[in-house]
Amino acid sequence: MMRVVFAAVLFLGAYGSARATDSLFEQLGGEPGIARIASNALDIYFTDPRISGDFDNINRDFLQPRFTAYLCRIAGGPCIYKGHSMKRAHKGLAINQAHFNAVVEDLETAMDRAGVPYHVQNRFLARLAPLERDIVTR
Amino acid sequence: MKGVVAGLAALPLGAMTADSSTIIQQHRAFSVAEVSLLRGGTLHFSNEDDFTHEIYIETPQFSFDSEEQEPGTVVNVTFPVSGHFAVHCHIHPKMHLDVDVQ
Amino acid sequence: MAKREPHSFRTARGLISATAGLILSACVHTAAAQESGRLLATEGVSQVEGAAGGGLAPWALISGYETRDAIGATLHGTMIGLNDFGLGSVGASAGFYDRIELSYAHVWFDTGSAGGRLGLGDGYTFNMDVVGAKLRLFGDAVYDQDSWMPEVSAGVQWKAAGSHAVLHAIGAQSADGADVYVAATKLFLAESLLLNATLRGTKANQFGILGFGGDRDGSYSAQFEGSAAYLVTRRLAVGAEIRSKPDNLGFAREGTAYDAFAAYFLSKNLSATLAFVALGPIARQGDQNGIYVSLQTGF
Repeated sequence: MMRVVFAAVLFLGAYGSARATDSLFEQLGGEPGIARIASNALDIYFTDPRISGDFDNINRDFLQPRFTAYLCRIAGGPCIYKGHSMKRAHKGLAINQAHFNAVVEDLETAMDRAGVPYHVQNRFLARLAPLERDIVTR
Repeated sequence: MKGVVAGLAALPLGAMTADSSTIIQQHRAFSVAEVSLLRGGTLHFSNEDDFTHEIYIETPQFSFDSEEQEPGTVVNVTFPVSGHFAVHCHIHPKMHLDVDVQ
Repeated sequence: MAKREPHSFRTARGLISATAGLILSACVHTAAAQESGRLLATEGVSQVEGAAGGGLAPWALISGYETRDAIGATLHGTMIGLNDFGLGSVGASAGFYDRIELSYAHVWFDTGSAGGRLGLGDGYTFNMDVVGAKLRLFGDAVYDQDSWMPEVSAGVQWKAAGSHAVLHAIGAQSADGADVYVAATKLFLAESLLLNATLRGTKANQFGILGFGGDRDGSYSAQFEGSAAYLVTRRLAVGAEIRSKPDNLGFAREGTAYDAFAAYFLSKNLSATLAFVALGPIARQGDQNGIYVSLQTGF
């Protein structure tokens, strides 16, 4: 009995520490995972009637690599983001809280489609949530 | 006298043709939809927007690319040949300006 | 003595009609929900006195799933089946611009066969109306993920209980009273964990159902309420709560209430909560434990 308990403790410890040492970037699937999340998200943003109006005058080929690099950097990946701050990039768009929340919801759907586990999604969203202050101007 | 009248009649109605003009970029759009210019004239694109733009012209006779044009900067484009040219923005696909160079 | 239907039947009937009413209103308002601004499960549920929060404790969150630009509302129906009693609550709340919440709840307390033992008659039911107001003072539980700052709100619950003669007979000083509280709520999104702490000033006996103040203590006391919720999935939260209560009546001692809950958020319109509750001793019948079921619709 004690051996079973000991083995269980070892297994749980190993499992727990393996999860703990995986960075958020790795848990999101590294660069390919983040690229897939970003692409999925843009697919939704351009067609979600709640927010597609915000995307009707932006070139996706311009936006996608920058969006991907930004998410990668926020996730702690080794990407270089050379674009504007979120504040500057959204300043002229008069984004309101409902639009911001819709973008976050769509990002959740994008992560679902990319197979990101719920609790990993929350770790990522925790880093993105404070952007509300910079992005919401209305 | 007849030549002057003919010359005046040849001008497009409502268009002022000059050798330079300023176009303002704002709200992800150009301030006018079309402009006329004399050959050799210059358009000054003034970015008074909140966003970076990257304007370009791509035709067999004449091409131009501004690269990144930050808010608050002016890009000057001189048109060495006559013709019709469309100015677009790489970043904002709905931005469109027709330039008629005489 | 007139035969009353069994306590459990009355509980079931109440639950079925509450459910039917809520599902009907949920269907009617499904279309409106598409415009709801806030993220799923960022509202909690309706606590027994009608405010947005857990089942027992009010939270700092403003009800109604809406952003600072809009107004949202909820309806709830709650039934609690205990060893000797049934407790129920129906009510509504409205959240204005993520700043002010107004709520109303009607709470009833069915003594079942204990009513006979207490000399009131089997199935004797106490009633109470609660009108609540809550003001968000500062903070945002969801967006402020980069700071320790919680969302903090202050609130008041004005309560009016019935059965004045009975309340007087058991030693309650008054049939009406007001509770005041401050709640601090924080969502630790990276840990999928929500914590709430509420400090309440109250004289209420059994939430106010048995009046306010008593022969043992007639003054306000500070009570503590805490909630912890773990977000298991986007739609499911599990957790536990604690709520301490004053003990003002010599007639019937009362203690701290606890619950362990699972809340399922079907959509922005509909959530269902199931909990095990331990409400402590009530009206001299011993510790009252049982099952709590609640439905909430939001729009």
